[in-house]
Amino acid sequence: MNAVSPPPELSTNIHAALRAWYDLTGTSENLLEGLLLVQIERGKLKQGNPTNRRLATNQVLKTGIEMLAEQNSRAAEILHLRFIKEDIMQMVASKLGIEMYQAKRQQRAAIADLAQIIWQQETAVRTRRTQELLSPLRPTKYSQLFGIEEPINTLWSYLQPADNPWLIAITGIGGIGKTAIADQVTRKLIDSFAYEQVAWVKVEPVTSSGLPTTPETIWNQIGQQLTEQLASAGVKETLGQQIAELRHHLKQKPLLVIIDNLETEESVAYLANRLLDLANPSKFLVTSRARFPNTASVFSMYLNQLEETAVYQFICHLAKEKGIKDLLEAEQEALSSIYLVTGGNPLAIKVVVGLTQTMALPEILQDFEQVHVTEIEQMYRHIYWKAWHMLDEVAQTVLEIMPLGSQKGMLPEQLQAASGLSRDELLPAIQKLVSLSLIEVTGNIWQKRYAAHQLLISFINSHLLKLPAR
Amino acid sequence: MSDIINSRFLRSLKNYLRYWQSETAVLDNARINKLDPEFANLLTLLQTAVLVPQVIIQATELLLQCFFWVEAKGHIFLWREVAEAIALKVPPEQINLRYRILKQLAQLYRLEGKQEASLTTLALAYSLAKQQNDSLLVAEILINQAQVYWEQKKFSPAQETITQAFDLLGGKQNRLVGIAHQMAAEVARGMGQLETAVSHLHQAKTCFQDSPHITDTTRTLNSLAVTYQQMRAYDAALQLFPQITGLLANTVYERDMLEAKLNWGHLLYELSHFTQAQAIFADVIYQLRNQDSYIPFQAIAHNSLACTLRELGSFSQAEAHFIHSRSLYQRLDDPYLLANTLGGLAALYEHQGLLEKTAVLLAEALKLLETASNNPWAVKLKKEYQTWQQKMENKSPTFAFVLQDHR
Repeated sequence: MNAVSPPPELSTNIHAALRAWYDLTGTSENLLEGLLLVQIERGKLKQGNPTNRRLATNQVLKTGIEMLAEQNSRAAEILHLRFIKEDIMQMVASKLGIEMYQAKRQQRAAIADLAQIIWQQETAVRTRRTQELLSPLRPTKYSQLFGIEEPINTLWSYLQPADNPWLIAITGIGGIGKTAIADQVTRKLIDSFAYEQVAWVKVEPVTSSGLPTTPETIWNQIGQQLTEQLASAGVKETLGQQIAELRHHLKQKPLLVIIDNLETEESVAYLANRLLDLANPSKFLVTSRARFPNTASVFSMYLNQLEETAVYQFICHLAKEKGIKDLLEAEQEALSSIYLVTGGNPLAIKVVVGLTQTMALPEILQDFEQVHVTEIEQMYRHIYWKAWHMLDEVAQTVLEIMPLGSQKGMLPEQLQAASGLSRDELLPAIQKLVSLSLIEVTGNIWQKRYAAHQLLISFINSHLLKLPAR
Repeated sequence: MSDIINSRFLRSLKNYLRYWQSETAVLDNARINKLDPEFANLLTLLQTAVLVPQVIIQATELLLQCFFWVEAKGHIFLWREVAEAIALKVPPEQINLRYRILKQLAQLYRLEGKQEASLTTLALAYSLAKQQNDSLLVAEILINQAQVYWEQKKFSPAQETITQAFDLLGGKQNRLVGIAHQMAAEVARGMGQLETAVSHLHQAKTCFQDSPHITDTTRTLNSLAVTYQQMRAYDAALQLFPQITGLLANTVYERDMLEAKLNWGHLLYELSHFTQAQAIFADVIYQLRNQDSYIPFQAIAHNSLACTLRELGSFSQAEAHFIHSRSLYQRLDDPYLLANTLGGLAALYEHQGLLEKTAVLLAEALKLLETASNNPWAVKLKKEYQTWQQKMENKSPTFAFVLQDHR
């Protein structure tokens, strides 16, 4: 389907809609409910009664007929006489001075032309609306996702508007892909125009002043970011006023709000009821490490590790990205061993694949078989030990420093000051750690920061530095 | 644990502490603004350093050095947490260092509104000051204690303490003496000795003549403005606030600016310039929206805005601000100021004829004021509320009836 070719059923539905011009007991088809144009017209009419529903559809048809009149006045006149003035076909033919069969043929052609015009308008409106709805989303960090069909389908069904649950949570351990899945399902919902507006709140692990967040500061972040994205202009003095206005806004029409990156049970406990108070008809999609309790209003989906087939696809994808030819050509057995060791955890797979650049796969995997890794932390410990032992002293020095920086990340000069390394020594070490997926690069073109995943920080603290818990 | 920390990491940790010591050696406005985005990194460093005994002294010195930054930017809460952790780890033989960290910790508690914790910590610091046989150190603690008493509105002990401090300081004219005069002025004003307060403030100004700290001047002027207000020298007070906010503009001293604005707003409120007062309080609240560490200011600002809105007839908005102020005072665990806010809300309800609600709130406020015997301000408030309650009870049977259930 494109702007030029409307979907085949559109002409049929438009014909049905024209016939039902004065019919208040409409069907989804003859009300053209699939069209965004109709939804927009409905939005302009305050109440959703049968009369207004029909009026909204008729307005779309009327505008289309007016545009048709500019291209082909005869065609527009036929439609006007036949469906708005409700002349019988014989009378239409007589008024236009043509034969009945000609009138019928011209009516068919007029409806096809009208469908074309309406579809062009629909396409333009959809494009504009899609851009608007996508604007709160950040650019995707992934090039491709694997093994997501089932969770996406489940979420998709729960995220349809207008009914419980109002809060849908994607939960799971760090690095499992919660944000990526939330992003995917949101894009899919945007494509279907299920929601009139979308807002995305990224909960930062540190506040704007750089302090670690508390449930209260997260609530503050949510209030501020949603006010910026959704509420009308004008400074709200207090969080209470912001929330009151947001509540009003979210209660008016179905909006989708994504709250990304809740980390603690404390935050979940603090926010669950507050978010539910704002919901209905709007829905909240939350990604969280901590589980939400399942209730009538809350659906919590725990994200499991990747399935075996998806792991293979993911490994091949990473191997291509990093140019690891050996792994691309590896037999099923090799890939299977990575799956067994990592348990299908995407972050762990990334690190293991990174290690294969400089280490033979049996070497990476041998210990896992000996110790019968059962816990996820044990698995990470083994992977990180492997990675650690293959680092040179300079890279080890840099990695050891990572717990001294916040999750915001350390600046290169801070790494340099702490390590005592020269810039020429430091940069290759950083590159090495990034290529092994041990540290992440954040920041922008002017300023880069480097931070390690929290799982790795815990490993460094407890196993390399042997620091007591904070 | 620490003896098995590898030497390479220890070297890095020491390097990084040195880096931060150098970065924070001079903390002027420009420097604080430049460094502030890195605050989380500094905090993480100290949170790690506290686990390593080999660097505790270095970490403590760094922590002490950054106080201006923390105070100016309001990073009080998490800084206090790390200061608490470090204070526990400073070796006992480091008496002066322990004295300094405890003094700072007490200041952090005070800024957070935790006055009892502040006094307890100051008592510990006091004994360490005594051990060092240094009268200036003892005087410093006494000034700090006086400030806490003053914030608790316990003016008699505050006056006694500041007098002891003056005895130790002698007749010198230095910054510490200036701070003592500032404090003495606050206490005198609290006791209604307004001329004495003005005299102390003029002496403070003289002591601060060569001070590089702009806040020495602005705090003195701020105190002078409030004193003038109480002397009903409104024009003189009104002239000072633009001067103070002008001096503080474009500096990092947000806390001082907020305090000055709050005082300015209170003056305008007293002069019935409600619209101007409302604008100032709303501005303060807006400035404080991301500052979790400024809960005492937030509580005052919401209460003040609520009173102003009540005067302007915006009852529903006033109610919202009173309720928010109440929740903040509940967090601060300050029963007397909480009672004050409840009284404000009760007055709002009374104005709207909601006598049941008024009765419940007044009873609640008086319950909070039951223990007010050692705080003159709270005693005065209690008397006011008791008279009010009595008046309402005599006037309205509904009020008396509701009150029966809540006494």
